[in-house]
Amino acid sequence: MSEYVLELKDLCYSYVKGGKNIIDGLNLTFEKGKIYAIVGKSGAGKTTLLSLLSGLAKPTSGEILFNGSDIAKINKYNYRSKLVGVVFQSFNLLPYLSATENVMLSMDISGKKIKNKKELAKKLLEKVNLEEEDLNRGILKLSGGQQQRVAIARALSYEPDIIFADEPTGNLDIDTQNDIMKILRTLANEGKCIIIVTHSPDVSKLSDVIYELKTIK
Amino acid sequence: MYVIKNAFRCISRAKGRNVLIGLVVLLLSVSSCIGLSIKEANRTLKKQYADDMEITATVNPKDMRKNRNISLDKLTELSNSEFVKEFNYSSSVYFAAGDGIEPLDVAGSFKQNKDFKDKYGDVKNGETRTTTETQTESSESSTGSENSEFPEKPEGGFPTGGGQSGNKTFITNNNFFFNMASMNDFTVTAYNSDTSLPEYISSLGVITSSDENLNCVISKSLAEENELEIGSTFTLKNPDNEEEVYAFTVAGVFDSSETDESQDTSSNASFTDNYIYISSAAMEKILLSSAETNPETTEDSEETAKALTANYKGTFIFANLDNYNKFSESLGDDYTLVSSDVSNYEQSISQLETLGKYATYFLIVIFIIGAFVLIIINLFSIRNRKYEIGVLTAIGMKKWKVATQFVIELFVVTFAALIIGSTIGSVASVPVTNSLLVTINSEEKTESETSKQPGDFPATDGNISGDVSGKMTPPGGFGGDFKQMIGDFEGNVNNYIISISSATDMTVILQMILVGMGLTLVSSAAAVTFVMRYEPLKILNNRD
Ligand SMILES: Nc1ncnc2c1ncn2[C@@H]1O[C@H](COP(=O)(O)OP(=O)(O)OP(=O)(O)O)[C@@H](O)[C@H]1O
Ligand SMILES: [Mg+2]
Repeated sequence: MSEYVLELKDLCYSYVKGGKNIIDGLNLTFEKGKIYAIVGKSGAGKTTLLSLLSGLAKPTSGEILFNGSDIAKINKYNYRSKLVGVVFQSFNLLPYLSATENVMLSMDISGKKIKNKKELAKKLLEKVNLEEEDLNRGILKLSGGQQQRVAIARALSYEPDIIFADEPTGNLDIDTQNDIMKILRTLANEGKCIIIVTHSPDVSKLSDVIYELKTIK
Repeated sequence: MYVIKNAFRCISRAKGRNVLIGLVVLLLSVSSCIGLSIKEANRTLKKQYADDMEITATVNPKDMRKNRNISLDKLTELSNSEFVKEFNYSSSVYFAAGDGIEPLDVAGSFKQNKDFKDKYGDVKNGETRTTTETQTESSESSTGSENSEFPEKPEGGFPTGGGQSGNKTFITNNNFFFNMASMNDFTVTAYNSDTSLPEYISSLGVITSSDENLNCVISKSLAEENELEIGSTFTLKNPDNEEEVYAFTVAGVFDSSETDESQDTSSNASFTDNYIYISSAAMEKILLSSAETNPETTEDSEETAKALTANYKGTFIFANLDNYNKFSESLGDDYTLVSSDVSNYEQSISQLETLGKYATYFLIVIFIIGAFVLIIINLFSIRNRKYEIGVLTAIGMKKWKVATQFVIELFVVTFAALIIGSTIGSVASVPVTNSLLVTINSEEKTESETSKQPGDFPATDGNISGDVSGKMTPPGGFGGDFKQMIGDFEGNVNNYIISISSATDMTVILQMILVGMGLTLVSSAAAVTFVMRYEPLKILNNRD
């Protein structure tokens, strides 16, 4: 058993075959119980890195080890639905479902035995400061910040080992941002690994480790 | 099973798309249900009629001019065939008026309707003819000339009285030509069996086939004209032998209006009111005695007295079409079997076949268009669902589950529409099929009416001079008798293929389920292919 929950070894990635590497020979380690901030200029490849880490994209070379084993060798659906939770930069919520239903769907997909899914979903949504009346409304009738919080609640709902969050506080006021950070800190204290991509110095300050991603020239 | 749950959520939340798909499937299923029902009804009707249709037919000589009449012996011989279910015949003899009775004059009773008056003016002498004194003379001198002018002499001079059944029945008769000099005032008819008596005679209950007495039933107008009552007697003469006289007793009176037939006004004897009905035993007696009275006469001596001859009309009843066909084959070259039932059946069937053929084309076209439209709709909707697919797979839903969800959605929508469509279709297919059948029926009617044109009497109208005896006197009441017999079987003769109560049965329902499966498979194929090829990364990067 590795001491790292996630370990990158000489990770390279290019969108075009044989083209310029966006990520070029990256070696990083992530531990349980810590909050990591990934910073860097726009276009540096932060979102790209997250999609590699969450198994949505395959590295051009190098490997990503989850608890010591290459994620290329684990079932990617299993990995995405149970082991890691992603808060996407563009939320990626289902428009025909309500806030609660979006959260519950992820619980369903994870296949984890969760009792009272509906209640748990509501509890989570209340935890991220969503009002009672917003819970059963369609996603498109919620504000950007509200949608962002639904996306966070969804990523937490099935208690994954790692949470990737792509600018999770980008649309939030300082107070809400601090609330979210408190929730993430609690989760870290419970032994989860939190990886946040952010432009916000406040968020960076509240994290344990900061990795800066340099734009490859 | 969250996949099913999600599928139902998607259906209810994405109404526009599903209503569109549903409507297309609904239209498809209504039309295919109707199409399938027509095909099915077509198939069952065809079989049912061939199996269950009781066919009434007559045997006619092939060449009417050479061999105009079929003897009773021949008819009986034919009726012994194993294929014949029932055989009846009537015998008719022409008589001239004797004492105590005069025939109603055709011209005198002819109703001058407006058309007739417009064309020909009033028939002046018609009014004077009702008196008994002038009757004999006038019937002799003017009936013929009147006749030649009659605009609507029905059916080539066939007598039409007696039948109460439908007008579809087309009678080809054993046509025979009469001695020019003979004076046929009355048609005396007997039926071999009581069951084949026309309803308006049998209901009187006064004629039984075994009764040898010369009891008769005459028409009401004839009775009134001659002041005859039940119990009165009168005599009739052999038209070819003035000496040969028979005395009849009036046993009953029938109302010729009940016969529901247009009057044949071409001669007195063919006039329904001049029909006289007796028992078959009495008829036999008359024929025997006439044969004894007038032994051996030769054709060429016109003055010579001739024995009364009966003209026989046989009616063969067959249990089904198969037996009819087998009997027809067994007849050989000299005779033909004629049945309005069969010609009606054949017309209906050929129409049904055309209908079935169109139903098949219709189904094929519907299917091609339907499948095409469904694939298009699905391709478009799946494009719009790209994002959905991306999200679901990005949060870890397996592709095959996403595909399953989509298929379930289509399946549910398709089958809901299919059930509604089939219900509408099966309800609609009854009136649709029926109206098509009604069209068939009316076309068929027109055809058979056209075929009633007097084709068998090429010389009938053209050569008629002013002399009544020059007129080709039409045969006796055979047409009427025959129609009457058919009337007894009216239920299954004239009314077949009038309507169906349900065109949709189990076969159609099973076929509809196959239709549904086909449509769902076709439309899901597009969805599944798309889902399986889709990569969720595009969603994550929000780039299309
Ligand atoms: N699908 C793609 N195909 C080709 N190039 C891509 C694709 N997605 C991203 N890129 C390129 O890769 C680089 C990194 O993009 P990425 O989205 O990872 O940046 P980022 O660090 O997340 O920026 P931001 O802070 O603005 O979100 C960019 O130069 C971008 O143009
Ligand atoms: Mg980004």
